[in-house]
Amino acid sequence: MERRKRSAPAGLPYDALLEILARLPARSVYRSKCVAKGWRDLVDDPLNRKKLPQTLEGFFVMKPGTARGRGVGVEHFGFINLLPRPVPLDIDPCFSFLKKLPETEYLSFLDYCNGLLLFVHARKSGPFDQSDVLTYVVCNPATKQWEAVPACDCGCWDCLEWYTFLVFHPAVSSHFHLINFWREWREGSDKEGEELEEWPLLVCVYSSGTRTWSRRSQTDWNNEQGRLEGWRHQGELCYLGGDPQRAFVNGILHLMVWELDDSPIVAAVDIQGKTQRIIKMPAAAEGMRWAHTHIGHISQSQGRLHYINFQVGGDDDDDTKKCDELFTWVLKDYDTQEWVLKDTVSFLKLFGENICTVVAIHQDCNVVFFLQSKNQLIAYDMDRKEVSVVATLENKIWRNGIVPYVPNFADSLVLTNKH
Amino acid sequence: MASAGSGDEKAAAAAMITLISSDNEKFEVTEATATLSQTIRHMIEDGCTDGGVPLPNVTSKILARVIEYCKKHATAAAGEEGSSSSFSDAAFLEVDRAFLEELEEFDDAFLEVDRATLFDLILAANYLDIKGLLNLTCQKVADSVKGKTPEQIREMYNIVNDLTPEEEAEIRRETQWAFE
Repeated sequence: MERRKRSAPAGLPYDALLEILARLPARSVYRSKCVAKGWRDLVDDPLNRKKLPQTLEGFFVMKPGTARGRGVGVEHFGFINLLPRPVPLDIDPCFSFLKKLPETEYLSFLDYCNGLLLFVHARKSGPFDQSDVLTYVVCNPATKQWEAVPACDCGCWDCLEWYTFLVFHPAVSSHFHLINFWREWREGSDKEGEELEEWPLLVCVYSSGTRTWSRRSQTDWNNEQGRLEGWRHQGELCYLGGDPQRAFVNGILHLMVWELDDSPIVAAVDIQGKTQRIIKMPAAAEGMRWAHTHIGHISQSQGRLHYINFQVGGDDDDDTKKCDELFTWVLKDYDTQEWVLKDTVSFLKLFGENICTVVAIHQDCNVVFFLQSKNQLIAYDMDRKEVSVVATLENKIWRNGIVPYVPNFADSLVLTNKH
Repeated sequence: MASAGSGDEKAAAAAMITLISSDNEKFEVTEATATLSQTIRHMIEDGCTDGGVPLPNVTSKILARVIEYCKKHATAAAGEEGSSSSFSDAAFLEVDRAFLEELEEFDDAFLEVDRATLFDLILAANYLDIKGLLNLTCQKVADSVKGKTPEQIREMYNIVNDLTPEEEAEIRRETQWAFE
């Protein structure tokens, strides 16, 4: 007790200090452990994990060759621990708590957001079509809670193109949303003479608050909102190694999309599925030759949108092996869309000849994770200009088979099932 | 309550509660204002507020400020109650903006206090279990700590570093990224 008195600021009790720390970003919380013993013990206490912000603890990895439909089967998950000591995390990378779900047949991974993971629950046999899909499942591996979400009745699972994103902003609400984009594909639509523009991406949104799906009404493409939504008209989502490029920044889903003229942009979509704004890529990036296989990567780090890409050198058309330089931009001012070049580094110096794919940016610091030769996870520290191997995997994996994981320990009233 | 009806509810809304500070000063407040404190709300529900509610942990100076906060926010809470039971995104967005702005200005001015008062307000908000006030005051301290080094935090709040150099080095090694 004596020690506690001395190390708390001006007699504040520790539960008040906990309230204060709970309102800080993870970086400040972890740094504050060095203030005094009492602060360190407070942050390290597993009982306080529910309140304090968490950081990137590791990655779920999924073996390839298990992909079926849009995702990867949950049976083939593993976990890479990033923390320097064995984590007292009782994370179950096999999600066996979900397999005890009644009539569990096949869980296939779709998306993740702030500690929650989204799966599609489908039948084991037969081709992947709508009749196969039973429900969506949203789960929290840290609390072993989950919730089944019925499929939307829009019939989108019958379409050739559909994407479902999970949106969860625990600082604002304990509710999650699913945002579903799909392109209707009626019989004969691919015949000659049919214009692509007749088949815009449609949107429907599930809210765990109302427990219903709602479809966004027909868009008038000519008014102001319609012009913002224009990317859905002719655009398609950008994939990097099978992974749609999206970042969740301050409650808004950011999607990287191609438009017909082949210049990528970022569409900022709110939890209603409504496009709020269009963000252009950094002007400085225009005219640069980007590696064809690398459309670039967007991520959230330290509360800001980041964009990473490889520049290709030389006149050689075979650009698959000639990544010269790695560029990282940060969207410094969201309203004026001011991108600032944060880091640039010689690719060869960093990685040698091998081609790499960006996996993620650490949400709390200037570290980028890459997948090299499909089986090595590499970390590049921008501040120190250092590269280190995080893990060498037994099996080769694809870019979409690796999922950054920041746990959320808070018990949820929304995820109603608990193992 | 057995005889609950609309008449009783009206009477309850106008009911007054007496709060007694540690230095024995009495404050009369409406039940709507007092029940922003979960602690007092439970006391009212248990029917043990007759003769006033003694608050031995809160001085009259701090209690006056807390009541000022609760009075302002009680109106806001009354407005929210209707929508909280049926959460909807649309309702969330349609909250009166002008009123929110006014409330924000009030909160900003409310926080213009010295550090000792701010800490006393945190303690009172914690004891009385007033979520909004606890959030407001803790956020203010959090903002002052944000981005500071451990040395700066110690200096700011007169904290003695009781970690050994080895322990400190270990923390830095474990979470190197936080110190860059």
